Amino acid sequence: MPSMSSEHHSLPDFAKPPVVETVLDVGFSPLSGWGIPHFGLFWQSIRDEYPTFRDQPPVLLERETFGNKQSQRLNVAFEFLNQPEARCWFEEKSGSRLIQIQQDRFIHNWRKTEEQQEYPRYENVIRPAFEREWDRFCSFLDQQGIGLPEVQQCEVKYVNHVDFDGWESFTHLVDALETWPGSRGFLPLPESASFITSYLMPENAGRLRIIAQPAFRHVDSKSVIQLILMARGQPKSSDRRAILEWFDLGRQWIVNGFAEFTSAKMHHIWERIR
Amino acid sequence: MLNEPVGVRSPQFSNQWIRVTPLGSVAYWYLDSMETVRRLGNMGEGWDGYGSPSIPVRTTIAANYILSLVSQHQVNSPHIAPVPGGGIQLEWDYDNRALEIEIHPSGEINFLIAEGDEIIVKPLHEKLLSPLLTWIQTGYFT
Repeated sequence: MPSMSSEHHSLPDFAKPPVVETVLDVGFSPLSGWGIPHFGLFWQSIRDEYPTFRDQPPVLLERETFGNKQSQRLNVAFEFLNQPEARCWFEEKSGSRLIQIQQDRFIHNWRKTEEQQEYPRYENVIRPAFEREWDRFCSFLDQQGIGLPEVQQCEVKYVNHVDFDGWESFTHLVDALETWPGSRGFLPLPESASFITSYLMPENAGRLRIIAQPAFRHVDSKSVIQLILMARGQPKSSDRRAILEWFDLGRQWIVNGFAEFTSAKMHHIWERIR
Repeated sequence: MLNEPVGVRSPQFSNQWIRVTPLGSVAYWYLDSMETVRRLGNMGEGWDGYGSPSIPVRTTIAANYILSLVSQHQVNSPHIAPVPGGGIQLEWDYDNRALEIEIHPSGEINFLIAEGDEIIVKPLHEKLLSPLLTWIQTGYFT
């Protein structure tokens, strides 16, 4: 099996990728011993680095199903109703990293900030940071006698914001749109478009979704195209190595998918290296 | 309190941090209101002729956030105005009822409801937004 390092060097790369946020999300069976006080206890253990918290409504664990297994979705929804209705955000001092905890989720986010404009790279920062914080979370669960999470699903998500700079039409974003109605006939070029596509990974290892939609970004009052690439699937086991292997696979699909999905014109703007 | 807005939550509650408003399902007036807020945010010091400070970014972000929430409801466009001191006010008037949401430069957000001579001013909590918008349209909180 190729190492992560060799895989990394074969993946497409961009000097100025449009990624503004990454999400590494582990969904697990609801922790039976977890209660509201544990949010505070966990926060105490990371507060020096993550001084800010915010309450959020919980995120529903949407399990990928393959074939005719739709009934699983209902079971998950039922479990959801029995959870404490809480999710906590713990924000790191720099404002570029976030840990989200709920009874059945551990989520680690990185986002672009004023201070950190450059994407710090998955293998150098994103993955090791997740690894460290996941270990710390599992140690906490162990200390509290809660037990280790039984992992149900992993998700890697890359959120890209494509500003309206250096390109003229929505059709320039994706090669396939060049042949959409409006490119060559009566209709003018579409001023906007939204779409979702999904791709099944071999052997039902997971699913990649690509979602493009026009959106309004609050922080700077700008209209952007939000292009999300999201890979979900179940790791082979609940141990850390299996989780990281799944994240590596999901990220590989995202990076290759991004390069294949977007146009050469945009690659030029994002300064494709390989 | 809505002091530190974090963005619009999609119906399934997202795991994303940077929040945006997808433009597929918002009210017809949403983009115009965003443009108004952007223009207010660009006003320089002394915009009112009395030395009022310019409107800080956190105030425009909060206004964008509230407008994104409001745009999900069937409600008319608000009147949007700057407030001396560096705040932004959103206002709706229906019959003899008025609803005002004032975003202060400090990050504090209050609402005012008035019906006839009766006036109530309170801090705005996100959970109150939907009942307040229902009230301004119908006169009832449910």
